[in-house]
Amino acid sequence: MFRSRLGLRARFLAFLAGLLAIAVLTTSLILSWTAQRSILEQTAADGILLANLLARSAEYADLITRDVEAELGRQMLVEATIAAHLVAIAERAKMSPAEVNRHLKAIADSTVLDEIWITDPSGFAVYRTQEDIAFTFSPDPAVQPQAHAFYPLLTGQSQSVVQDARVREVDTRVFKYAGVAGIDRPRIVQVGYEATFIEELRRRVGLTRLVDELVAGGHLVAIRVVDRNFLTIAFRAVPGGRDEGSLTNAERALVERAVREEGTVTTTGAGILTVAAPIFGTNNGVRAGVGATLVQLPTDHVLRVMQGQAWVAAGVATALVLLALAVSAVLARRVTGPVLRLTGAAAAVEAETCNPADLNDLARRDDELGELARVFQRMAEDVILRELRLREQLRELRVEIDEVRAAKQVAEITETDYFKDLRSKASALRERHRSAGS
Amino acid sequence: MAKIVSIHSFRGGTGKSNLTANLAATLAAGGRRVAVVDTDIQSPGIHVLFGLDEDRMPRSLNDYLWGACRIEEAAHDVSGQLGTTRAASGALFLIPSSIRAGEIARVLREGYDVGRLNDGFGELIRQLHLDYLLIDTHPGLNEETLLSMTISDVLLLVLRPDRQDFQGTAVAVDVARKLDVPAMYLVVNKAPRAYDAAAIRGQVESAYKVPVAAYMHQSEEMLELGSASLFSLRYPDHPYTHEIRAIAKRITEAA
Repeated sequence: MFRSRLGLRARFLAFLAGLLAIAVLTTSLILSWTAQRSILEQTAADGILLANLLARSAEYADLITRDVEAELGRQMLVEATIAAHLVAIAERAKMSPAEVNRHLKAIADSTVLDEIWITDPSGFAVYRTQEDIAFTFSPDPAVQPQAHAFYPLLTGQSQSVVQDARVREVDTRVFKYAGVAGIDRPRIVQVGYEATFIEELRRRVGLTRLVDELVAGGHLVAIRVVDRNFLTIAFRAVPGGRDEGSLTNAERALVERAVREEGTVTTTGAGILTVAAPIFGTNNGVRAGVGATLVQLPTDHVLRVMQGQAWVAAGVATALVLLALAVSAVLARRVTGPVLRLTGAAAAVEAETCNPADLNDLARRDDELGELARVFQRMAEDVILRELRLREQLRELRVEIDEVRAAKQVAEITETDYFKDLRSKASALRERHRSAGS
Repeated sequence: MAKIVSIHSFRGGTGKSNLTANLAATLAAGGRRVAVVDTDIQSPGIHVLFGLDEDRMPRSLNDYLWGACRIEEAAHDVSGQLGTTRAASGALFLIPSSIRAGEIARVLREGYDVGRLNDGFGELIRQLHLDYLLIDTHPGLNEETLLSMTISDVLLLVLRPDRQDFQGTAVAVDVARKLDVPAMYLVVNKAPRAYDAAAIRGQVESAYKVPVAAYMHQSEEMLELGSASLFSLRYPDHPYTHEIRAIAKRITEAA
């Protein structure tokens, strides 16, 4: 009896617990997976948004600095033209080069203009603000990668040249140069301007500051803005993160792809999501890729979120399973308890000790077990009644013979002539058959 | 030396024919040559148990009694009913009563010569080289039953444990005693299971001073099988079959 109770109830509970555990685990897995997906998607969306914002900022910065630099170039041409007229007047006034140079140096010292170079028809800079440097222009780009661009002014092929601000080949300072052809004779009249102002402008437009603030605000690993030559314009990483260095091959490939596809591209690896967005500007009036922004976001927090969820799911699952076990135990007792009582009652019927009234409380239940109890009660009552009747019959059963009547019936037979005849011949008849056998 | 065994019950419905058929089959299966004569001419029935139907019974006891044939011509070899388990020497014959309504009516109307029946028994034993001749009698104590009792070596009285059978059996036992039947046994049949077998046996034996050869319950399997075939062959391990074997043993051992 104990074995059957354990079996039925244990199976009931194990089945329910198993079902619940499977349901909760499945749900948790699906939820975690969906959460991971959505967090990753959100991270990517954030990255794309940031990268695009930075790219747009970089585009504006590029546009503004170009406009400013173009205006600066026009002003520098004015300055060069004035210098060309000045030198023509000075030569006509028979001023010595030393005297002219003193004037030029006075201009350079008292204004933002840094350098003035004025050549003779051979290209040698006769008049100059840096008297200690003897410089001769050459048409060969191999010899003078930067200065050769001004040589056409000497030959009359070109009347004015404005160069973009760039790192000078002789030192690492950023300079902008503009020049015009001579007024009185073939010459190159060049003015130079140290363009830290342009750098300052870029910074003031806000790209670098924006990059700094974004990284300092958290949620980002690093931001890098590069120009069309993959040189870093702005970079910022979280403290303890990577050094500025230069682009890795993978990052460079990503940037190239972003520029080629004219849209953002993403890649994930080593717990970091990298988003590259191209920066577009105008190069000689044509829209072209002028650089890219790289935004790197951490993805390991996704893992942390998932771990947190897994713990919550495990806790909920355990709580649910415990609750279900408790509820099932109560339910199982409600089901198996009556079954045990009915089994006991059946055994009692067999042992003839059953009292159907003992099941009255069970029979009052209005469920299937109540129905079973009622049927069992009726059956048990029938069986008990039948047993009682049989026992009654057995008590009455006695081999009682009415001897008088029997004797009378016997006499009726034995007193017939047939019987008397038969009796007289009986032994003879038997003997006859006995001898007839094989 | 052949033994004649009469199976009788004072009232009908005691399971007498079934018992006779199963007893005959058990004896024959044990290697004996056995014949069963159905003298219950007014209400024959034992042939069904041996799988005989009307069409396969061209001759019956009735034909012999009216002089239409010799007794052995009315004997049907039903050894095939024993199946494969019987000993080679065993044989089983049945001399049925006619089940044709006209022939039954003629017996009731005209009667027959009981002496001729007695001659027939002897002839059967001789012609078929019998070891046992079993006579299934008509209930009650009419002339042919009295004759059967008289010539019997063993008389089996079948009764159910109820008042009427107790009374009727007392008469049959007394009459049999007056005929000096050499061996007489009682068979209590169709006893309800609730009864205490030992108590009933004791009461019956002390009341009649006759040994009880077998005590059998109302058997559900038997009811299910009906009269379709021989129960003891179908259920060799059933308590009923064990009791049949006990009767066979008593008969075999009777002097």
